[in-house]
Amino acid sequence: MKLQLLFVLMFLSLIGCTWKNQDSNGSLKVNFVHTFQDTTLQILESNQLIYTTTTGNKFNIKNLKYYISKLTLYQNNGAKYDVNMVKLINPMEQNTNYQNYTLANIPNGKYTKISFMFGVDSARNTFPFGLPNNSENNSMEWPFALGGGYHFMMMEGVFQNSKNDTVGYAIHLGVTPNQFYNEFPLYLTVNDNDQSITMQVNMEQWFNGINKINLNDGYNYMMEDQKKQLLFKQNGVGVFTLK
Amino acid sequence: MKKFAVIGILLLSAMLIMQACVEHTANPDDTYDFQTPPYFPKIVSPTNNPLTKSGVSLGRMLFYDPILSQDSTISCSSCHNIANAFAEDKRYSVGVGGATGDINAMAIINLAWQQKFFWNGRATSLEEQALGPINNPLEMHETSENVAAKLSRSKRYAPLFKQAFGSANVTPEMIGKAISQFERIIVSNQSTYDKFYEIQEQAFTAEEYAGFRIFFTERGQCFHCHGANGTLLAHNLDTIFRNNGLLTDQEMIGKGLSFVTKKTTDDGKFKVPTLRNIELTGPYMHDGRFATLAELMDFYSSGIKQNANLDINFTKSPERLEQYGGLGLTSIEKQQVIAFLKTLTDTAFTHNPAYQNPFKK
Repeated sequence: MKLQLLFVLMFLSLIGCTWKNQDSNGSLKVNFVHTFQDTTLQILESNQLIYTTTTGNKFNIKNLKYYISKLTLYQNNGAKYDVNMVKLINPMEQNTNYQNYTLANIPNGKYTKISFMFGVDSARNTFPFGLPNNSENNSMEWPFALGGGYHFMMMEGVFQNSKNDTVGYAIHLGVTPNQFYNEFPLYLTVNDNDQSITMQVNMEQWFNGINKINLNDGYNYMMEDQKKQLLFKQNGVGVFTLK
Repeated sequence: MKKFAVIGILLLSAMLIMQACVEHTANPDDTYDFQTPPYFPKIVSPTNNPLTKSGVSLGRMLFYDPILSQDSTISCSSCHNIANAFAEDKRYSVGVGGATGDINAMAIINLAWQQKFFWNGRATSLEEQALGPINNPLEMHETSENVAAKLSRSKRYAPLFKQAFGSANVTPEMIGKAISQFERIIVSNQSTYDKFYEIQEQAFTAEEYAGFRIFFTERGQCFHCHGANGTLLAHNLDTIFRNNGLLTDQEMIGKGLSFVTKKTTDDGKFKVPTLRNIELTGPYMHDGRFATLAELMDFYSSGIKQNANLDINFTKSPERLEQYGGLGLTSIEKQQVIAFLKTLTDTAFTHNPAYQNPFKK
């Protein structure tokens, strides 16, 4: 009898680790796939100029990182599922052009809208360490001397300037209230299942939204230039598309 | 009888599982209580080399003991002098038999938070780095196998290895682990700059704060490579190596990170060093070409050499590069930045008894 009890206890301890929370039943993986227009984005180490903006700048992208936060799912009845998350999207990591974030334990139901914030929400965009104090977040810090918090985006590369020289640019966005919301209609039924959606991130739109960006106009020192940051904030609304 | 056999098998399985989890059964009393300094990230210590009191103590002895070198004349501390914040005040270190290389010894400060080691990143762990100088003919001119044999025969060291790693039969791996444990606990966090997180600008004099503002804004750009608010003031995680315009296209071929990666796009990229205790760690740069902070400032202000891999933080200012050959700092601005850099000096660090030579009484 004691032996049987021992086996039962061992069995329970083994399966205990894999039991699902009975109150939460599905998951959604959001894949952020980066493109330039409709072609897969290439992040280069070299100075090869492989892209052209609508204003005629030949350029490339050598470094790209940005935050999204507050990913939220909504139901028609007003219920919402908010994971209060922050995720650093770093397409250079592992040399992939995509990153994903998985929302776990989503309650069963029909979801009709998804939204997220570009950047770090204001509650966490603070000095010091609104986000967990780790190397990943520390490398995105926005200096205290410039307001503190975090870079919402670092996009860097080189372009051919008006003198035909290949020079650098650095589009650095940060500082509350330069975050912005993205929201998309969604047709998602969660019923004890794991699903995925694809969010296309078209980098061309940063330059070709309602504001036509010409890199010759001084996008090298914009951390202290709120007007330039605002142009990108306005363009950023068209960067993300739910596929 | 059958029941006993089953219970025996179960107990044996449990023991094997526990054994698999722990390489060398560490004595809980031997655990080294590493205190993460305020505002610093937690360190990521390798699971196969957890900090122990016996390991750190042994590593400290090895660090200061010339037994690691071929002729017992050179120790780690010969080139990493605590008075210089574990850097060296010479441009090039002198190894066994008077051999000299062409690389300046890097400071050993806050390495527990760093990812790659040596100016060109050829060591991917602190354990690997620790064995590098032993095997370098220009430095200790030994082999780690010979040193392991010497230490195994040593009446002083064999029992200490037994205590720290469970065996008196010393291996190179055990030497690397011990030295890296000592290096991992070498922490600088008590400079004037460290008060900034508590009292912000009140930590500084007016001149220092002016330098702070140049450092941490786009006037100076320093923060983009040396960490933003940066408690560590070293490299960022994913941009450890940078080309800061020290070398021309011709001069940089095969130098820096490209020595490891063999990629031309990595030519002339060197590890971004910590700036902590920079007042004590001169001469500066991978080849120690600048003797003083003033020379360093002159370089960033007007001495940048343009090359194909020059960091974007310089190439994004073509006007400044063309007009000044760098940031174009005024003499007052240079003095202000130097005043700020001196706030990174941490004398509690250089006088910390836990880091001193254990053989000196």
